Amino acid sequence: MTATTAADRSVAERLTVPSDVRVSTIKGGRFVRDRIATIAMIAAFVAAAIPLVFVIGNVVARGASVVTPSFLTSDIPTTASASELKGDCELRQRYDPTAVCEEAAAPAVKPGMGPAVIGTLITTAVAALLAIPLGILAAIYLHEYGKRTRLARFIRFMSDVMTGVPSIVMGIFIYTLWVLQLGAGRSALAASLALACLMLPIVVRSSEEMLRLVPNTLREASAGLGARTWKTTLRVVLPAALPGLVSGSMLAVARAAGETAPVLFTIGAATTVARATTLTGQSTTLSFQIYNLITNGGKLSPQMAWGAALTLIAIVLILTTIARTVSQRFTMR
Amino acid sequence: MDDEENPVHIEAATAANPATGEEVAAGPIIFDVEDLSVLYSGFRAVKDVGLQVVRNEITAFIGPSGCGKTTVLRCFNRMNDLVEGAVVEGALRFHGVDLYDKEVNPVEVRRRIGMVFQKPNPFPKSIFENVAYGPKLAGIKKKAELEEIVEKALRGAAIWDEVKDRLHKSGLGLSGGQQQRLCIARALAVNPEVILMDEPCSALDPIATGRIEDLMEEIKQDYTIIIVTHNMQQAARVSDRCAFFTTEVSEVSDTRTGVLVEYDLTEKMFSNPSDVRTENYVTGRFG
Repeated sequence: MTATTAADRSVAERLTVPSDVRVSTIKGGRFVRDRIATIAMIAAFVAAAIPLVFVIGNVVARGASVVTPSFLTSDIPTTASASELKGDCELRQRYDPTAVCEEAAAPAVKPGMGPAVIGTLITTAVAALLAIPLGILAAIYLHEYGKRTRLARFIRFMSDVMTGVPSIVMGIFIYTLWVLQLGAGRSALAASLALACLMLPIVVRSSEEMLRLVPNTLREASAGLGARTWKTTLRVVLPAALPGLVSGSMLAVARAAGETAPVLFTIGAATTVARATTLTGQSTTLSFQIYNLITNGGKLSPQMAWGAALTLIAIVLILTTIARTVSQRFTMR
Repeated sequence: MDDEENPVHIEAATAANPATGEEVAAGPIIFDVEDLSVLYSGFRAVKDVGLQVVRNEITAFIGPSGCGKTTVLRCFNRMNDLVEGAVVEGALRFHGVDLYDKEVNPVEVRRRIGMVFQKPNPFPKSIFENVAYGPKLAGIKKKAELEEIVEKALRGAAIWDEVKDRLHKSGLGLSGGQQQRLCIARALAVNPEVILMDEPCSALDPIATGRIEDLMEEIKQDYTIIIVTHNMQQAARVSDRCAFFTTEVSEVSDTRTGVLVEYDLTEKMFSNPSDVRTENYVTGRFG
């Protein structure tokens, strides 16, 4: 039993290294593999960053010259030229049968995206007000109360399904139910409802993940001091999960702000800031205008579309930054 | 802490030792445990535990890992209610009232019986807010009153001098030992009758452990303490009474169940235990 076989000896020899740590015992192949892996990872990162940099660079390069204070506040031009106006109006009528094609109105002095900026802010804000509280409450039910009960599992499954539903389906849903069936007509509110439907499952699922990250020891500590579940949730779990909840909600807001499909049949049209500043009346959004400008090419249109795109990116960036800053102020680490 | 507030309080000058039948001199009994079993999803984790906890004493639960010490401890403030699939059988009477009676609200139980956990778990809030959390739940809102309670609790947990200048900084910025004393202060702030400690020193160095042990000795005049510990020296140093648990392997199903082997005065448990399994454990021959 004490005799070592040749195989044993060779294993022992291979594991024996000189005591001098300056002597390299690592085989050349490992260096090569290490280098290949490093290069592959850097290449993957660069490849992933190229589209991002290209998109942002392109939008800034083409849109920056267009975005001026007046661009952000002026009405959408309805009279670029007689023929353009006619084309514009006919197209608009496709989406908004109530639109009246005025003849020979005075040309707009400074064309802008004011109504779309206002419309985007209003619809996104209302959608967020509808979807975020409801979504976070649903997540609280799922993780703090429902856990693995049948109802909780059903809701979880349905929100997963809803996350995968194409956004245009949300638009059709609100269009048939709210606009047609209930006869509420097209409005900023209808668009907000469609966007809220889109946001809700994102908020529910991301919020539940964030609640899951709060250590159970904190819940036990709170319960141990005689707190009921709702007190524990309100005073301990939600504050601890706040930054994550904000991030998840902002992701949903960014998604909603940029969506075109749910807005397409639900919002109607508006070309003046005065008309677009409404909840129950028809309005418009930046994403809708980008779509409109590109598909309905007038001379000014592509350039204005770039401007609208840059404005949209800036709005999402600003909202996210504000939300992050506010949530950090309320977080104790 | 007034006796007259507890009409169902049992006056017991002596208590029969459940394991030996011997009579031991004792103060009033605060907990009376009888045939206590805990099941997790049908699996029996601990069975047939019977013991009596005496007021203003430190009772230690010792035994090897997995013997159910913590499980039993978590029955004393109904913490097992938070575990899915946990079922508690038998009786656990606190001042004569079964804690698992239908009329008993677990939230009320936990207001009277505080807990300190194995890992320090301060809330991600300021030191002040950590300690004020319990009193605020109990409805105390005035700042002056809260300040008084917080200072008293922090002094009680022997951490006031270390944190008095940073009360509004995060509790997570403290060292592990300080965090654990903060958690003790947090438990003291609601003025419980009993404090349950689940291996409170297992994550701490010997100096921090020594501080906590001194602290336990100091506060036992006002509180009844039950402590779970892996450390036999600690049990011998701090406890008045000691319960030794071990695991029994079932011959039929090959499942392990925790059982109470012996419960007696700590002095007797460590010098002259009546069960050979206790003797093997405390002398280091097992576990």
